[in-house]
Amino acid sequence: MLSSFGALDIEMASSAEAAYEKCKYQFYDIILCDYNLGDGKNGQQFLEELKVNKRLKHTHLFIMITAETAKEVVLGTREYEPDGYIAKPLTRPVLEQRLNQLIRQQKDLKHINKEIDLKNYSKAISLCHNLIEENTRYKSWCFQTLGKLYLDIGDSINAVKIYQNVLAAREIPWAMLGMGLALEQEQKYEQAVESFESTLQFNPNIIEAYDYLSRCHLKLGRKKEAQKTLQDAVRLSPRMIPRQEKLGNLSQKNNDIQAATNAYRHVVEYGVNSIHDKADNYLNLGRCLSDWSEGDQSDSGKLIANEAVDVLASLSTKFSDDEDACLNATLIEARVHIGQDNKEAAEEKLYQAECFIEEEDLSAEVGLEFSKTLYSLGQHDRAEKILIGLANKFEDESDIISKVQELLDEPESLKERKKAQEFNKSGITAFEKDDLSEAIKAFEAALEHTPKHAALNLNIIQVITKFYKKSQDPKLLIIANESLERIQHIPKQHNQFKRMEHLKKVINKLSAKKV
Amino acid sequence: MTDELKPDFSMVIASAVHDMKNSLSMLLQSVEQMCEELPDDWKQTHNTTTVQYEAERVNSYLVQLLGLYRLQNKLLSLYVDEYFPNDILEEQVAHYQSMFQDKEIKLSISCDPNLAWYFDREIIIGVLNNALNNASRYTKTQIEISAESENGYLKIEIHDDGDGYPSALLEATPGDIINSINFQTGSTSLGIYFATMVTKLHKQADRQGSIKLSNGGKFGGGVFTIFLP
Repeated sequence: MLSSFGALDIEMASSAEAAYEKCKYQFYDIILCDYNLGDGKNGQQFLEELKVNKRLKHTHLFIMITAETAKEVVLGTREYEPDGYIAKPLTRPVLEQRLNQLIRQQKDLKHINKEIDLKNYSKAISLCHNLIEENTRYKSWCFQTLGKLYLDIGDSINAVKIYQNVLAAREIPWAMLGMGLALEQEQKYEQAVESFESTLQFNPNIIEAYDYLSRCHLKLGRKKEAQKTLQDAVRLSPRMIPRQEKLGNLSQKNNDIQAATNAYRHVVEYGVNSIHDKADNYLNLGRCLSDWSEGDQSDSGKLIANEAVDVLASLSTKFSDDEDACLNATLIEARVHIGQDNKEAAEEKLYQAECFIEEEDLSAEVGLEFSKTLYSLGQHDRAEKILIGLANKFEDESDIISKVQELLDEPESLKERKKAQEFNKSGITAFEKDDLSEAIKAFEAALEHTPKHAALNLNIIQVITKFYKKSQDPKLLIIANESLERIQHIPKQHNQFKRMEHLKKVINKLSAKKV
Repeated sequence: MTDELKPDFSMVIASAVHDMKNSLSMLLQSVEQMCEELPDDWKQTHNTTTVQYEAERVNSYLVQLLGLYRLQNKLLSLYVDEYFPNDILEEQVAHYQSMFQDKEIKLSISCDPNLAWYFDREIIIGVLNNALNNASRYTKTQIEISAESENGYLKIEIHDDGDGYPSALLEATPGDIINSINFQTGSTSLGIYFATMVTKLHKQADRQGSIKLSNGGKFGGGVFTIFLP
């Protein structure tokens, strides 16, 4: 059929994998692709792979042909911006007509797209302005491209001008989005939030708007709103894996373990066959499920624990070459068993892992996982030793240090940590109201849940130094010294180390006076 | 039987329609492939295009049914983007060319090729498809499709030289239309109802889309008009 349209060089591939092999070595002017490609990758995953690996230039055409009308498929595919989207059933004259239109547009705009591919942005910008002058059918394409180019080179002032101009005539989604992005670039985050929110009010299906909105919420420190926004987006378009990963990560930071689990479940489910199918996805899901099921031996808790074991097992078969990943999986599984009060199974898994672990030569990832599991099995001293070793070994890597710190502070389960956080919060509120005895009570309650938390211990000491001046109650100094004792072990890389040194001196002084 | 166990009949139909649409799409593809293999003289004498176009009419009905189901359940959302009406009209003409040739109907377009407008492509094509199908059944010798911008609206008109719309239809409201299904004539007016509902979804500032049926026009027949803001 295609050769009758005048195409000279046509190649066919019966799967995305075979097609990608061809695209690795050659660029094609036009790629026609069905969404449904049988087993293996689908059309969207193929397009994603091409875009991520830069095997599609601006001067090429990627046309998706699909019979799918399901919203999540349509929205998901559109997110990867194919040049054309043709719905089935299609007849030969229609295909010919559509191809001719797309080819004509590509030809007419080739001189601009070529400059964009070569990253000659200023040249591309002036070519766009020229084309606008000529008053062709590509005026709106030129405005859209100009806006993007100005944003790319960081010229938000000119970008805003373009978008204002366009929006004065009509509410057009790309211009509304562009306006928000320009505001974000100018660090006017509140205004950007407003702009993206009004875009979504205009049309809640503009998926990118959720991503940008969430990003601005994060810049403003609103982690909960950022999470909620991403949740709205994945409800509409669940197949975009990087977004699901972001959501999983963010929900974990927000201690929303159920949301994190759901996000990672999707990452694993939709990641199959895609470029995102990584061992880390399974580990993240395993960790979440382990945290969720911990200490819950009801039927639903057991179900989640079983899911964790299954996910980790499928990792071990799928990524059997990845030694660290398999090791981590074994360590997580040990925690799942202890969470279900099955000490025997947990210790067996730990022993299995230990056979491969050399404690002197640990990677950061395995080290962290290992100490977490040791904590859960009650081997606190050993865990602490490993963590302090990691802190010394990776002292320049702030990511790792902050994770070490977190574990040293709060080796307890997520549920315990959440309780401690609440008491800590009310302690701080009481302290701010100058209700010192109430503050001490709250911090003590928090310490019952996470006794090793450095900042928490130092909080109570700080309140005591103030309260002691009034009450002179010797019991207070005992409490303070107990707290100091509990956090003696923190390494100098810990962000509370200096504060501890300082408060230690203050308490020592107060104790000396008493004598 | 409790309420929860009663099937939601519209959902049952919708999912059946969805399946039918998929298998019809396969059927259409095979028919087309088969037709290509046939010798030319056989094609002419046996009017193979009828098979294709009747199958397509069924398809467009199914699309509309699904669309209306989604509309009712607020699941229908528009993907509005900028398109060139001329390109879309040319596509439709290409699509119907052979059927119209068979019927000896002249089909022409009148539209500025650079005219650009914002709408949901698939939905408007659905509306056009149906209107053209309808016009092809009632026209005598020719059909013209025109598109132009008028008072801030895109106006697409389909003129035919048939006997025009019956007066009952000209005066009917969308509610009347959907309740006046006539099994004897086979005219369900579903297409007109669908067109009314989906053009209404196209909104810009405080204006919205609509359709209009009238008689007269360029050839003294029926005129089907779509307005999009």
